[in-house]
Amino acid sequence: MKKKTWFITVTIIAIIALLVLYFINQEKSKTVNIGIVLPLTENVASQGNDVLNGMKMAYADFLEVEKNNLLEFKFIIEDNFSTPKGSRTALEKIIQVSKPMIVLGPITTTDMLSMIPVAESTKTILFSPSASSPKLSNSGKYIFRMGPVAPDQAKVMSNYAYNDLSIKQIGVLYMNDDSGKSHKEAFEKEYKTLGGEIVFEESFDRKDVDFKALILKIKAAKLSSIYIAGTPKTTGHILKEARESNLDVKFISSTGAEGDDLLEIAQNAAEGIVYTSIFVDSTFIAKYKEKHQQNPRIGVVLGYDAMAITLKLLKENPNDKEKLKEALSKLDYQGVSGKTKMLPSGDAFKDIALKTVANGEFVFIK
Amino acid sequence: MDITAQLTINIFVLTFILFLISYSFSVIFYALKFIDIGHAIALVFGAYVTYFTNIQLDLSLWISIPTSIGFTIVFMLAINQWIYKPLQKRKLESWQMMVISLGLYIVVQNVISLIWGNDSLSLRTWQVKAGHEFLGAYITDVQIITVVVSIVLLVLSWLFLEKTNIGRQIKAVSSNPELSGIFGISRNRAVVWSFILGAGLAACAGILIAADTDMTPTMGFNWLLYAVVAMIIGGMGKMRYLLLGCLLLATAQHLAAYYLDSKWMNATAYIILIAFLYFRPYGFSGKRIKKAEI
Repeated sequence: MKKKTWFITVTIIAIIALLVLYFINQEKSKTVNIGIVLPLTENVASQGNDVLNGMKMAYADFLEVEKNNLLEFKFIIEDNFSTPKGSRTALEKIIQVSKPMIVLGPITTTDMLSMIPVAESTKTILFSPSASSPKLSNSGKYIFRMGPVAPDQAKVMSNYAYNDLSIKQIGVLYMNDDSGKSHKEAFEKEYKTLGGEIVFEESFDRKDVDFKALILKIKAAKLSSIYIAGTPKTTGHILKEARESNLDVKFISSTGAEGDDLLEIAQNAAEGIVYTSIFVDSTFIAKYKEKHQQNPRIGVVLGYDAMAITLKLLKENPNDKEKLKEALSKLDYQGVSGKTKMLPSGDAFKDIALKTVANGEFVFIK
Repeated sequence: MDITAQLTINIFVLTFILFLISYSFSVIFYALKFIDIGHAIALVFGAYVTYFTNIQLDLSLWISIPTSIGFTIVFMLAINQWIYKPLQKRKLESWQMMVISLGLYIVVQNVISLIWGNDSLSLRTWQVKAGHEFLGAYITDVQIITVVVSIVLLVLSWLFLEKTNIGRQIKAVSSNPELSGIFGISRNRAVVWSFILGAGLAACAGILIAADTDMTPTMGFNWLLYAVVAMIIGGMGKMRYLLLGCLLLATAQHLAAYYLDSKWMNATAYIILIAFLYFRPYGFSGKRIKKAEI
């Protein structure tokens, strides 16, 4: 009898202990999956890797501050090969395999457009750090982005070109895809409103490397300034070949110009190009410079903020997707890239800065 | 800035690079008697091996260029020895051989993508600077080297084919393999030498292209298609018809880009091809592809 009571007591205590342990453990190992779809190879890989590095930095900083964090974050990173098809496949894979709370990425509008139907139908929050075409405005309930949108950039750039640089006539070269076209259209609209004249317009392909024929046409058109809406790679090739054929024009561009490839391909021919970008917190620049001996590029900064925002919101809403979506749509965040205020369209309002290349580095114009 | 002069220079440079590729292709075409799309491998290989030895292993260009040409030749010979030769022995049709060579090219292209990525890679370690002024137009060092090297290589190849014993054997086998066999000329030997010549020239072309506009794993096929178009326009036979074909193609492409839109460069090549096949199916030379007959 005595023996039996003792046995029962021990069993009950053991069960309670196991249950307590189980719950504590569950609380501790509450994993939240975060999907990341970025171009890590092919054309816009340099920007994709910048964004990923920024995200990693933000996560490291988050862990440093939130030491008692009970949530465990798991990142599922997929390469989209800089293609719409790759983006869609990557998103489908992430959703099926790991049921993420949110998916970060991609970088370009074209890639994002291909992912929207999948994200909407599966109610997956898609948050792009940089896609900028107005085509994405109001494109879905679960679609958000924090990149500086093309019309905002165009306003700043056309104003600077027309008033500060006194460029009254300009040629436009644009990449024949959604991002290129959206920047081109926004710029032309703003520039014409100011009274400027578009005297030349030609498109190129995302994969083009040889611009000799295009440069020749520019020469024949006797242009003095050109607006380029492209990627760091294509912009780099254009600037390189312009220098090689001694074409002396003022180049202006959008955020699409900022990336390692521009400096690697065009080298000193990249000096002096003016483009629109975002503001960057000076302490962040100092901290980044100390570690990497260079200024953080736009991708790093946007990637950092996208991850910082995501982690902050996930900490508050770790298991309810709808609440997370609500929080993201009401976002008003002050981060390393300045203010990010989410608008009802899913676009974010951001302050636009002007930057240039000087001594082989991207710098702000004072 | 003189536009006509610049246009002429652009056409001139493109003509020679096309000529180099289409000539290298035609040498192998005559020997093998089928459209060897695998020839594009030589082009890409030349560029990527140069990248590997010059940029990744940090060897000087004087070592890395001959190494990569040599390596490309050995690789192409291996393809011929272990893939083309056994299959041709089984009397496969030429279209079947073409599909096999296409498949082979895709495999190699994907392997290259796996190793070096799909991104474009650059051989450039030199500074980007303005080209040399020449009659109001500008020509870069790389473009000058391209033209000079192409001319030298083509003259050497011509001498090789016309003046050496092996060269004459290649020509004999190309025009009539069975008859040459009766005269005791080894077909195998002629094919091997055609491969050495063709692959070597294609590797050089690949390196020259990469030096000018960087390399991608897919560049081989694009360039080879132009070269084949130029060969069809030029027609079979003499080198000068081939040169004429390349000149016509390059001129049409650059003029289309200048007067229409630069996106028309690719389309123009194929429009010309269709037009030629329609109105002048045997090209400038008017010669039919010779069939071996006894």
